[in-house]
Amino acid sequence: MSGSFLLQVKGLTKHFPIQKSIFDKLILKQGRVRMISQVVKALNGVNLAIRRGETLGLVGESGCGKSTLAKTIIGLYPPTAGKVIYKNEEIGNLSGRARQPYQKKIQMIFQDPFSSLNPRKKVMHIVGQPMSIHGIASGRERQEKVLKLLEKVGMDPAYAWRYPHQFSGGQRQRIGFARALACEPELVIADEPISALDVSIQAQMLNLLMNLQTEFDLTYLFVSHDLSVVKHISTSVAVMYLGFIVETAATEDIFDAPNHPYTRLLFSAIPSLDSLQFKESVALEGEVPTPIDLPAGCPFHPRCPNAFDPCRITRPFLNEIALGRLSACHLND
Amino acid sequence: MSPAPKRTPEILRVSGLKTYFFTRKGVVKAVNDVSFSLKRGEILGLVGESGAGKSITGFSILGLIDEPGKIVEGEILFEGENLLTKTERELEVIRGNRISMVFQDPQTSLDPVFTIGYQIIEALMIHQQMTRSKARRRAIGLLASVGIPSPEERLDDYPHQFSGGMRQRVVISIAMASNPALIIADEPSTALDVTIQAQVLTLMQNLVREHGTAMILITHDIALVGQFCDTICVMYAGRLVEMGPKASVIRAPLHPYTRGLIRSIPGRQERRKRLDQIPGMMPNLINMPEGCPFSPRCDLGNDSCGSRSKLIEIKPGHFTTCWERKA
Amino acid sequence: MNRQAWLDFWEEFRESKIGIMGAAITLLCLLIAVLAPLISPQNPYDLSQLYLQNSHMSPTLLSKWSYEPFVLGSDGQGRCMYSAILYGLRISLYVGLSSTVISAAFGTFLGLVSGYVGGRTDALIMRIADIQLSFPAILIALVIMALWGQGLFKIIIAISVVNWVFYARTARGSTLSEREKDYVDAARATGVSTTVIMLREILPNIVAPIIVIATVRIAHAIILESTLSFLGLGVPITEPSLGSLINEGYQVLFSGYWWITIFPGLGLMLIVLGINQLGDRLRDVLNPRLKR
Repeated sequence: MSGSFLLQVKGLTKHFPIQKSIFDKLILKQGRVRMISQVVKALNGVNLAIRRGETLGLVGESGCGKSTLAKTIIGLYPPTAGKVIYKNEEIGNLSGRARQPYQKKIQMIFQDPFSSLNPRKKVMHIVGQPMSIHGIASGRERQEKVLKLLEKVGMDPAYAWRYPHQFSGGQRQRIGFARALACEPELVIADEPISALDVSIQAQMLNLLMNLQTEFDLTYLFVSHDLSVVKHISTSVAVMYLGFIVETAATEDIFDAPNHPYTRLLFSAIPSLDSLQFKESVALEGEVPTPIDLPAGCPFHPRCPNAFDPCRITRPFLNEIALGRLSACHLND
Repeated sequence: MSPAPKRTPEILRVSGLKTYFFTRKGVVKAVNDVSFSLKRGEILGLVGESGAGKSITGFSILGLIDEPGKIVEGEILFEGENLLTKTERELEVIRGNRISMVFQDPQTSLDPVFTIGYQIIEALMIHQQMTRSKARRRAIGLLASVGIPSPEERLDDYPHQFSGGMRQRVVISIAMASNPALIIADEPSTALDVTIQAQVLTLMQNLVREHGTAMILITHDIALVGQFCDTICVMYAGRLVEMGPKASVIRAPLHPYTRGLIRSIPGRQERRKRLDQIPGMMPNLINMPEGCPFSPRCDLGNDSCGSRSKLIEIKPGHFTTCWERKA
Repeated sequence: MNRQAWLDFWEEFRESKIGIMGAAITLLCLLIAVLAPLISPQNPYDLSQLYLQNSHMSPTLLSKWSYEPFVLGSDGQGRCMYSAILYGLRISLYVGLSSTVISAAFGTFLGLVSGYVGGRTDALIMRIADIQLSFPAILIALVIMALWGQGLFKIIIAISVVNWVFYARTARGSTLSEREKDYVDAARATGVSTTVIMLREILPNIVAPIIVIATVRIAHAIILESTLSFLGLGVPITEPSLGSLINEGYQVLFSGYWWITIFPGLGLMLIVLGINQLGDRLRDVLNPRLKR
């Protein structure tokens, strides 16, 4: 598992302003009219590091910011603050021409097989487009490459001249995989690549992803809410909550002994086939707060059964609690 | 009014249900000869993937099948009476009253332009002929029983002021309002976050145990039925391929599809190694051939799989349609 | 697209008799428009062929005399009504189609840019559209023609100016929803430029509702042209369209020369009916497919 850091994210913050009319922004506070600007604080100082050859599983529930993180790393959103560092080069704020060399190296697989492929383009065009944009191949040579790539992802090359709607969800995802591999990337960010597929083919697709990783020497950032999948495919895991990373560790470590209270809540809420009795989970009360009004202090404290005074006031840092394990909880201090 | 319910333990018996959709391109046998039964207080898990026919089974029981679908054959005995012979009027009395349904998407199952108090009270007044003030008191009680804090104030809130999990609780409270004999829950927690999902399902489980309500839980998540249900029915491409007590089905599955499904779930094998995958894809449901729908993907089986599809009892209470298991 | 899609489309379209009727009528009118010079007994635009003493002659079958040369009568200039109507249909379709094509292209492009780029550009374009929409279409066209003068080309432009807004709004709406889809993100992440994304990725996907609207709006354009001509602000009197014929006949209607108004009116009604039914049916057939 050792290798240099392929991708590092430092203090990455992304806030989205909420579009409101001028009247909605004015509030009456302490007898005076003030203007408030609300933002969705999707990412709040995220720190991550991925080594070459690793598979980092990024887990969290809806609203935690994992998709935003994926899209910011790949350049779809400019960061509000913080850095995205690829092999020691800062790429967070690059765009256009300057970003091009990195677009080749970092590619993305999307979640929804029905909207991730342009319905009006043939498979050949979809998979070949990245190649033509980055000048990797053209004409006959490009065609050959696309056909070979389709074979590698388990699709009959004859399908290259069909349209996406003629395929099932699983096949469309395979096309998505092929597109991601078209430029021979080093890092592939997979944003819930199998969540939208039928359970009986998820195993096939996971096996395919693992094979592709070996064959093409890829590093994965695997975003998912499905813990059993993440447990199987990842070498290390990062847990997100409300735009913060609350814990990271090697997969065995975190599943054997989760440290952060949210991690423990999350893991216990997943039904598993091992025990057929539902175990009362650690904290079943409370709702997920919104990323607009973040709680002060630790973002999890309203739901945390072990919250005590510091939790309500100071935000905990990601501290190393053991070799290679980081957790952001005051209980560890 | 319907006659007083009989006090037998069996509350629902579906026999040979066939619901077909007659489309321009051919016949889709969405539910193809499905039979099962349910006792009072029992939680039945109806498991299957997309196209398995599980939701359509639920809709068929309630008589909610529209063109081009049609229930072509079968019998649905609810409290001793065949629902398929009832008129729409008679069914309306039963729906929401004796049989309630909880749907998947909490966004769309509540009317966004009415307060939730209005929706609950309306349901109570229609089905139980209560006065408005009595219904309001009962509504507050219902909201409290599903764990919504400050129920009296929240009665006047609109659906969009609740989070997804809360909305689903409101839907559950409406479903429980008339103390139904049966609740059909179609993927009630799929649209919710994992931690909220646990809350909602525990709540449902507690409620039905407390009131002796029977429940059919329709889902694609086999681990979920393993935790919350008593009996499991597995459907594939319109057919019921396995049925039995939960522990038996999960620990010792009889049908190759169930077996393959359980084996392929990550977490049961060594990490980072190849998973046991089920080869092939879901079949095209239009004009499907007779016989076992799983045979193209099955590693067992022989030529006669193309013509056999009856449920046989292999172990007490544990049925399957796979003849290979007979040995 | 592919053969199967066309076959499916035709299968479904066929089911409605009214739709088929609409399509048939539209096709007939198109044929007439194209073949007008060949099938009309007289060229009504050729002033040298007109003789004033032929004016106001009633239709053949109704006349008191045994021999009447004009099947549908003649107008005040001595024009054969039958020929005038054929040529009039031609103008109606020409104006209807070309103004629709121009305003659809222009409006779609603006809507696409507005929807994709967003921000100030979007606000500006939509505000202009809103302002324009607050005036009745007729009024805008009237003002343009009154200031600019008569002429076929001018009327096409005027109608295009009136109509671009509808296409822009539809295109913008579709663009807004396409923009959120993953394939656009995928294109952006790969490095496709904004212009290419708009024109090559999004545009093909928003064309369907535009086509549906366009089909229906052709009828509107035809009516608008007829109205303007009726009011004397459209085509010049020497090249009459259906609207100007109606106007001419309207002035002598109560003198008993009814055929000058009625027949062109029927012709106008026919073509508008045909196109509307066709457009309606198209919309019904295409809509569920859009959702797929």
